[in-house]
Amino acid sequence: MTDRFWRRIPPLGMVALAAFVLCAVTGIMLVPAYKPDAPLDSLALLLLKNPAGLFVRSLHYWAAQAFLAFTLTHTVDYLLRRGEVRVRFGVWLRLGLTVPVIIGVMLSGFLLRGDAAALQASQILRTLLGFVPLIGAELPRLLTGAGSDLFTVYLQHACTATLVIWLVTVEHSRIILPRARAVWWTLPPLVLLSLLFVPGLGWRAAAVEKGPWYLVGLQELVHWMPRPQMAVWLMLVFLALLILLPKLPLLWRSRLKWTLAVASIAYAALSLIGLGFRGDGWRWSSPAAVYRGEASFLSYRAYLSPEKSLLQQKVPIIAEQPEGCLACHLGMTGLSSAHDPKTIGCAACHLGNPFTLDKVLAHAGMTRTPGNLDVADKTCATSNCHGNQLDRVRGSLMNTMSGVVAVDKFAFGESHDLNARFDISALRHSPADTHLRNLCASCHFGQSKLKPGPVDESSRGGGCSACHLQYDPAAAAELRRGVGTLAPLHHPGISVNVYEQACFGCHSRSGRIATNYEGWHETLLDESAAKANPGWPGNFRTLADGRIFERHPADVHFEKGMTCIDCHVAPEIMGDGAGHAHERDAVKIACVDCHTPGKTPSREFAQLDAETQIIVALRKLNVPGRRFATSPSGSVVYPNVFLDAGGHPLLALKNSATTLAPIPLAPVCVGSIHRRLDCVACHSSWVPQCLDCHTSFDPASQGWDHLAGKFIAGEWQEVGNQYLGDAPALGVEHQTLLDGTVDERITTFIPGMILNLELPQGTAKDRNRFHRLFAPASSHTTVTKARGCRSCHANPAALGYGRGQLTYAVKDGVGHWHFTPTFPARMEDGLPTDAWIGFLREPPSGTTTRKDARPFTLQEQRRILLVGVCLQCHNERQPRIAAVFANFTNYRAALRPQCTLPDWIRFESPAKETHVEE
Amino acid sequence: MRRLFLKTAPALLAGPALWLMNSLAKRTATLPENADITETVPLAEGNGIRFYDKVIVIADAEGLAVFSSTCPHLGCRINGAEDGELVCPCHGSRFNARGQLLHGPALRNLQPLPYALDKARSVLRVSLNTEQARSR
Repeated sequence: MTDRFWRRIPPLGMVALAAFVLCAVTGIMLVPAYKPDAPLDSLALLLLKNPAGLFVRSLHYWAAQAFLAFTLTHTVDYLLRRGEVRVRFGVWLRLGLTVPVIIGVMLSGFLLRGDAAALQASQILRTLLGFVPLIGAELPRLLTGAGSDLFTVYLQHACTATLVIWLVTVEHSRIILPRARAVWWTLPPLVLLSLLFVPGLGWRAAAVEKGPWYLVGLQELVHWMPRPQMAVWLMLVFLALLILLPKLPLLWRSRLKWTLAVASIAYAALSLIGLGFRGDGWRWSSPAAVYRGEASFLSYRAYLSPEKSLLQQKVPIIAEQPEGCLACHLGMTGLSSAHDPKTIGCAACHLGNPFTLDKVLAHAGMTRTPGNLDVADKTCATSNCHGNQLDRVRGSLMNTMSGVVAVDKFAFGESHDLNARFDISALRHSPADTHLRNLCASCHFGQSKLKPGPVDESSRGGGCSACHLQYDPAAAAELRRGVGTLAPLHHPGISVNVYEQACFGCHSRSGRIATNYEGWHETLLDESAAKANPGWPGNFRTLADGRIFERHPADVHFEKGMTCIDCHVAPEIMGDGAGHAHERDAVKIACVDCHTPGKTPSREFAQLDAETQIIVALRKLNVPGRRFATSPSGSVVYPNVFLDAGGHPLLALKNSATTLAPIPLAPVCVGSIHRRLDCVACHSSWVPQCLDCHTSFDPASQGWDHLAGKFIAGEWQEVGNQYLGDAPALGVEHQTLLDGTVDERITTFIPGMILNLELPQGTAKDRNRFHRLFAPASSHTTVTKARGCRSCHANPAALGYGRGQLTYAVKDGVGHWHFTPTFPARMEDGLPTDAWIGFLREPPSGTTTRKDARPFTLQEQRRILLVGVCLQCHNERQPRIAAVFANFTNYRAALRPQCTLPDWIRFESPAKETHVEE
Repeated sequence: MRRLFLKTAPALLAGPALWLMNSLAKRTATLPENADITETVPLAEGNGIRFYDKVIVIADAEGLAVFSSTCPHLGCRINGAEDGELVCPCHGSRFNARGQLLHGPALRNLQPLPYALDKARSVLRVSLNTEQARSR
């Protein structure tokens, strides 16, 4: 029975011949549809509209693969049965010489696809052919032609190679056509394969291009070879040995066959590596990652005939190739010309498959949220679109959150370097990592947006879409109508405009600059308590997450209609290519860039870098002769700030048609007295301050891991006991200027953390940590009227002592400052709850969350308070007061008897006390 | 005798035929009609790396640089960058923004190409002659 079964199976060579003939027949059938001058278009049309033609191509493909596979197995079988000595040497010679022709006919079939992979393969083939000794000069042109079309390849594939193979086959097998039995054994499985696995086409260049499966081993081999010529020599040696095989003695024949067998196994292993483990840029990758995304084969659905209406209309050509998506989505509105589907199609952003009219196949592998950074290299940031920005955005602080991670790890004792660089997407599972995963890791660009939708208070992440996607009412209505049930008609807009709601979700937390800016201060009230307040509802606002805010003074820039991007330029938000440690290092804008003390530095349009030129042009601000403001160093250009006829800066708001004239600096700002002060030190009206927080881990609860997108055992919980919103403390920040010098600036600080941290592990002593760390922060609560002299020079909160009563008393002819704190002392360090440093004490090191920031030293405190002593009697609004402190040395020398200096003056030389600059 | 002639004649003719073909191919490739090729590309938009059909335009703080997009390894078109490095999609060779080889299998730097800046039309005219000569 078994013998009879095996006898019924046709010989391997006969099956190979049957496959070859099928290949030839289907190849002839494809001639009317194939255009060598437009190969991709003609094959795409088969996929799009021609099920019969598609089946013929699919059968042609599978017959070719079967021909190769059975020819190889037939050869191996022949060698195993010592067939090499059973044919005349001349026949064997011609059979051997046909091996490269068979590879050639297969490879040329691959090249005839005309897609990106085929074009790359064509280049490699030409180069390798050039290495062939003696005839390397003419082989590339002989086999692939001189032009960019595929006429020569088509000719060699369909005629020369086919004829040679057929002649050699006839010569050694003595039959012209395969037996019918072989055809009937071969045809059904090939038809089945053709129906189930339809070979697709690559519609765009990929980050890794692989050749046909039988040459991927060679591709892997040349990746390792020091010189690719060696691959050609290896192949020639292999061929020569194969041809000379019959001439060798029996023992050597056997050894050579073993050698060829081992080489074949090694080649198969290389092929497996290349096919399964090589990802983008030919880097090592897992098979799951390698085969994620576009599929090489389509399902039987490719044969489902599209609707008649779709067949009758011409498939639009986008970027020189058919875009099947537009058969359904052509009427899409809402996008500007740069992103109009009629210009760039749909697949360029949303992926999927533009070479089919079947909805399921077309949408396979597509993304509804192309802005996500994990796909951006295939969508927004492909090499010819916004590829320049992707690396910058990925390295930006809004993606890495490096500063947040560094401070968190510092607080948890997992890192001692506050300037260490981290990437939040690379967090592991330490206590600090879990804390960040639980509570912080949703607020970064890299957080993927899972479904389409407008940006609102709850939105997090979304990559490019986080800022640049705008839902107008029509797009929102479209979303409500239900994307996925009907072809969308209106697309959300994509533009350089970024509205405040894009920033609000994340920036209403932590430093809360978004809510501060709009004049809202977070409370600990619940809704019922807030409703009991006489100010409800006008003075309160409830955010989507339930937090209740109460009205505080808004930032003057907000009141003028300015939004975040009016100040914060693209390199600042999207990254400038430098790996900054903290957000303050990345900020480009300075108040004086608009509120210029003197002449505003500027550049003409032609002198701007090309990216700024594009932004200016997109905003339609490119007026002939206009000069655009720059920072004093010239390193930052403001595309929306330009000079008027008098050389004064004008600010064109990016999200509205308003133009503002920034007011110049007041004389007091530019004098010598306050030259070390940041503008925010005087002009920040209030800052949100969270005191006495408690952070602990509850192992019994379930926490959401924002990175993994799932619930995990245990949850970090933060409880705040005091939220205050009043004038900030001041401290010193060291800034490295462009010329390398370090500048000390007095700026505003907030309690970054006054908290008890309860770690899940360790001894009782190790587990409980107390931190009193302040952070420099621009609260975005700018007001035109600056804080008064006493609010700094005689204010304990401004100096960092905490809230309370600071009084100056004279006893026995000597003055003494006394401080009575409002808040009780903490048992951990003896300081009042809201304090940063001890009253008139030298502050210890490690009191801030930044390496280059510190509270006032004792000497600085005394210098500040010395002015405060004068202000005990002298009115700060006295016109002469500024002149007095500008020339304090002289005035010190002429003090009136009733002027009583503080106690420390007796112990220090006057020279140290007279430079009152703060 | 006839069999001997039939066996030797193809071998004797193969040499001259190969020489003729080689000569024809070399001459065809070096004719100015086929060699003087220029690619015109838009002026690079901002600092960064722009990929065109046969050329790569890099604009950065150091200025403008134009390279052939042909990988010096086996001729693949380099069409993408990763972390500021140009990456060949076929065998993984890597080059920096100055076209210098960072990682093989390629053994040479990218070929810099001469170009002319046409500011009026905001285009670069890149001469591919150097590239043609090398690929020959």
